[in-house]
Amino acid sequence: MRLSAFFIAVVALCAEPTYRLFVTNEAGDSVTVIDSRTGKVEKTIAVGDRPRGIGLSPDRSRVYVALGNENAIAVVDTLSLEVVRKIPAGSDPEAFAVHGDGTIYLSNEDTGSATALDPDSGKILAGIEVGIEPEGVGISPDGKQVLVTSESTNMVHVISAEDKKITANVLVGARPREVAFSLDGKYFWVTSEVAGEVAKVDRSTNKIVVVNKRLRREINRRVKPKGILPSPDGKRLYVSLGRGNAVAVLNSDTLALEAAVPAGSRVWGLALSKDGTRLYAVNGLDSTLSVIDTLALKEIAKLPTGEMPWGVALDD
Amino acid sequence: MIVCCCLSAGEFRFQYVGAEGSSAWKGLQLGIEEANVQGKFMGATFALDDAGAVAVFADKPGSIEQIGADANGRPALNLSDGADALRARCAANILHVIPSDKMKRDAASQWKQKYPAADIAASGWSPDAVKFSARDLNKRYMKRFGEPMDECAWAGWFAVRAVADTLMRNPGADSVKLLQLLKEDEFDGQKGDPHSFRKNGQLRQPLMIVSDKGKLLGEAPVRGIAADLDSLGATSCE
Repeated sequence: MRLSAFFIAVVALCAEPTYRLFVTNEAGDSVTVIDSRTGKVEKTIAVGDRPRGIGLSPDRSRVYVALGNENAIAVVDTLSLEVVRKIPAGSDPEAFAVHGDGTIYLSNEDTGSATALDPDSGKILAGIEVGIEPEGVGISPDGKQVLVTSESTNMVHVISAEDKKITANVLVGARPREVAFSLDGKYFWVTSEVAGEVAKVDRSTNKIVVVNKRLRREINRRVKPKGILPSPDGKRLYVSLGRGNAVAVLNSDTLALEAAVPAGSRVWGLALSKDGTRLYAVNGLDSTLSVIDTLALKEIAKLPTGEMPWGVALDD
Repeated sequence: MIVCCCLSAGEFRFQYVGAEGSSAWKGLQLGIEEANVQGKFMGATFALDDAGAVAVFADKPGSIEQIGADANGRPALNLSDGADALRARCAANILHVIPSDKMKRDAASQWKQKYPAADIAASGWSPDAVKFSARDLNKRYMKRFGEPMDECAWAGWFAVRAVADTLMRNPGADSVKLLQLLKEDEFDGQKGDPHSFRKNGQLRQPLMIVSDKGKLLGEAPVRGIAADLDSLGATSCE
C-alpha cells in the first residue's frame, strides 16, 4: 500500500511518455490525439474556439492550447485527455513557448502584445508591448531570453525573461512567423513567410549573419517558410513551407538547402521525436499530419486530423 | 520668417495630395500609425507634412502625372487612378499602388473562363478577405474608422508601410535611393504573394474577385487558369 502510493507519486513526478501527438485543429475547434507508435487516432478533444498554438508543460503532465477566440489557454491533462481548466490569457492568444520555470510566454495577435502567464496560479505576470500581429515565440536554452516575432512589423523582439522588457529589436524579412534557438544558444533562426527566407541571427550582436532567400527558386514559387526546428544533433534545420507543400531541410550553419521533402497542402506546425528520426508536419488544407522519416528524407505516412490543423506537439 | 529646419535622422515626412477624409487618406493614416509602431522600436517617426517630405502620396485621379512632375524625382505613389495610359507612359518616379484598369479586366476575364455565368468585378481589396492575415488588417481598419476597408484605403495603407519599411531598413537613404529601393524590393500587402513594382511602375499584386452584391468570391490569378501575378495587366512600357 505504502509502496504503491510512493510509486504513484514518482510516476506523477516523472511520468513515462505517452508518445501521443497532439494536433490543434483551427477550424475544427479540437485537438486530435494520435498514438505516434501506431498512427491511430485515440481521441478528438473538443477544446474550444480557434485553437492554434500548442505545447507541453515542463513535466509533460499538461498540454497547453491557445484558444484565439476564447482569449484563453486551455489546459489538457496529458494522460486523461480531459480539458481541466481554461486560463484567461489576454486577447487573441496565437502562439506560445513554455519556459523551463513553467511560465507561458504567448503572443496576443490582435492587440500587438505578448503576455507572460503563470499557468499554476493563472496570474498574468507581465504584458509586453510588441509590434503588430505578433506570432512566433522562442525561449533561449539558458532561459534568459524570450523572442517574439511581429508579422506585420517585420521584426523579432528580444525580451529579457527576468524583467520582461524588450532589450533589442531585429528587422528581418517580411512577415516573420517563427523562431528557434540553436542548441548552444549562440544563434537563433527566423522564418519570413512573405519574403520567402530563413535568417540566422547572432544572439550576441542581434545581427543577421546568414540569410537564405533562394528557397522559392530552389524548391517552388509557392514556398512560404513557417515552422522551424533544429535536429537534435544541431546540424539540420527543418522548415515547413506552407503552400510550398513541403518541408525544407537546411544546413543549420550555412542555411544551404539539403533536401525538400514533399508533404501535404499548406504545411505549418512541426514536431520532432526526441531521437530525431521522425518529423511530424501538419497539412492545414488537407487536414492531415505527415510523418517523415528523417533518415530516408521521405514521408512515410499521412494521418487524419481535424479541420485545418495548425500546430502539433509530441509527448515523448 | 520661419527658417526651414532640417529633420533629424529617423524623422520622416510624407506629403499627401488629395482630399482629407477620403478612404485613401484613411488608409494612409492607419499606415502612418502602424509605421510608427515599427519606428518606435527603431528610433524613427513618420508624419504627414509637406516640408521636407521624402515621398508624395496622391489620391487625385487625373492629376497623377502633374503630381509626379511636381515631386521632382521623389517617389510619387498613386493611390486611386487606374488609367492604363499612365502605366504605359512609365514616368520614372510614379509608382501605382492601385491596380490598373487592365489588371482588373484580366482578373475578371480569368474568373469568367472558369465561371462564365458570373456577374463579378475585380478589386484591389475586399473587407471580407481573411486569408494571409487580411482578416487582421480588416479588423484594424474597422476598429480605427468604423467602416470597411476598400481598395483605395488598402492602397494608402500599403504605400506608407512599404515606404516606411524601406526607409527603416536603409538608414540614410535619400529620396533618389528610396525610389530605387522601392523598385527593387518585395513587400507584404497582407494578401499572400510578395508584392513588387513592375518596370512600368505598377504594383504587382493579387486581386480579389467580388460578386455584383459585393461578396468576396475568390482571388486572381485564378487558380487553374493562371498562376503568375504578371498574368494581370501590362508589364512593360509602351
